[in-house]
Amino acid sequence: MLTLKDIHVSYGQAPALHGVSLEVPEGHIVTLLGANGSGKSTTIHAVAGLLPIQSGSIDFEGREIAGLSTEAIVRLGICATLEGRQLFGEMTVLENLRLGAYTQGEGKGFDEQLERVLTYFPALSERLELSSYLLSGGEQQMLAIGRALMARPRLLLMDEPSLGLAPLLAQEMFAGIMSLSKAEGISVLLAEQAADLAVGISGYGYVLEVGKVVLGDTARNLLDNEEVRSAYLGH
Amino acid sequence: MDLFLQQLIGGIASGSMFAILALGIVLIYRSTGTLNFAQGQMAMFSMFVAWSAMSTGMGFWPAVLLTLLSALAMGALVEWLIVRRVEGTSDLNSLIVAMGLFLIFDGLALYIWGPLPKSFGPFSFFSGGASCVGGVCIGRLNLGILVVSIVTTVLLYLLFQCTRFGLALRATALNRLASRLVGIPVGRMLSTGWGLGTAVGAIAGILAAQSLGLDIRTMFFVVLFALAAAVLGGLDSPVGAVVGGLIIGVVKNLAGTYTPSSVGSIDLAVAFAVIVLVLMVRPNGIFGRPVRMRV
Repeated sequence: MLTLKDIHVSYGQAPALHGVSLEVPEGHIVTLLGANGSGKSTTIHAVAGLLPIQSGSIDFEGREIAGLSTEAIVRLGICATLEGRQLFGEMTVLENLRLGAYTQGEGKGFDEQLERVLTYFPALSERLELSSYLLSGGEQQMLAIGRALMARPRLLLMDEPSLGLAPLLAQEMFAGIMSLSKAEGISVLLAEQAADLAVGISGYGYVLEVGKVVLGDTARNLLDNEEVRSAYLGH
Repeated sequence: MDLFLQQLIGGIASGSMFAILALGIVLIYRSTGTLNFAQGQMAMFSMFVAWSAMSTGMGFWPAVLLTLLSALAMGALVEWLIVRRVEGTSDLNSLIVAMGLFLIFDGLALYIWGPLPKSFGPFSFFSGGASCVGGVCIGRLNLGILVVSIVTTVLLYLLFQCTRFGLALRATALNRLASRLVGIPVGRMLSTGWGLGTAVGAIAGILAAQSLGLDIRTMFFVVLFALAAAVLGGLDSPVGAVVGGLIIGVVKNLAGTYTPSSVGSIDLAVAFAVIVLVLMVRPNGIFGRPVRMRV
């Protein structure tokens, strides 16, 4: 569904990605592992069209999307949630969700989709009129994901969704992501430092080191890999 | 008492003119973070456009419509051609851009229309007898200014609060990265913000010309009060701009009425003293919100 081939990205003079290639198969959850600064976030940003790409290709369902604007990429069915959640803090939960559906228009489909999204995050349905900065950290993350879902994506990019969440909440959230991906048939590319939980729900994983993929394997093999376990999975 | 009410109403009318121009300043500030003190000269330019349209024999309302459309395009073009180039560099650069815009529109107007004042209104909509309730009267000019201001404010409110487009405009002002993430064409929204701000400024200009006449300097002092109104209300708050404008108009009028005329333009001093006092208590303006974050 998504194939990155030899992606190069740099921030000014400093190269951030040199030759990242990876694949997200349809309906699968794929996790990017790696230390801080290894290029996980940069990869997510590059796919979302938030960063210019020096060279390489990004193929989404047979279409080259490298160089497209974020707006165009969203319209093709790729949505991202970023670190820091990037909500419209002064706006209500409902307004955030409405904005999530910006590319979809607000016809009959809107109410339907809203109802669907709220079944995944029932806590939000009681807080629709609340300013989103008043939500707890966990609820904010739910809103960020819910807002992305409002655009009916087929591929969800997630940058550090568990950041700032208590372990139990993080666990709940990953379980939520898994059931959502299954039920809606949404593929997920996940960058995560709390990697054991993330790999636990994934089919595949890639390990990044200083802007390069050094290992790509099934989640099961990664969990069994002694080196990976000690370096990234914390046990 | 009648004198007080009379001056209050006069103050509200002139204040609503400041409010409209301040609203334009706030729209632009929210769009790109530029404090556009060229707002007055851009409005003046639009007034001359209206004057030119009417001197070719066009009626008042068609000329106003043409002026608003051209102001919309002019503002959007300025954002696209100039403001976007220096965005995100430094506040100092956007200050220089605002100064540059001031000089550009000032110079262009002088070049095209010359230094002599033009006769521009009051038009029939703004002239006629006063309407009185009890002993308190409101002149047709003030009534016209008030009505246009209210209609403009209500229309803008509806645009921002009740339409999807308005929601996207507000979203862009709040968080650009998040706006890109949900697929809003951010660049187009920023241009629109400038366009709207400039068009609203043109309305303020046409109102100002009814009582102040039309020449290159007509908007000099109006824009000063409008900037003060925007700061007083909180630079990022449209409601604040309106309230700030009204407060300044009323305070200025009352101060002028109740101080001896021998002290000259004490009304200005009193108006600005009030602003300083308010800002001492609320540094972000009356409705301006400090940055809030929850970690």
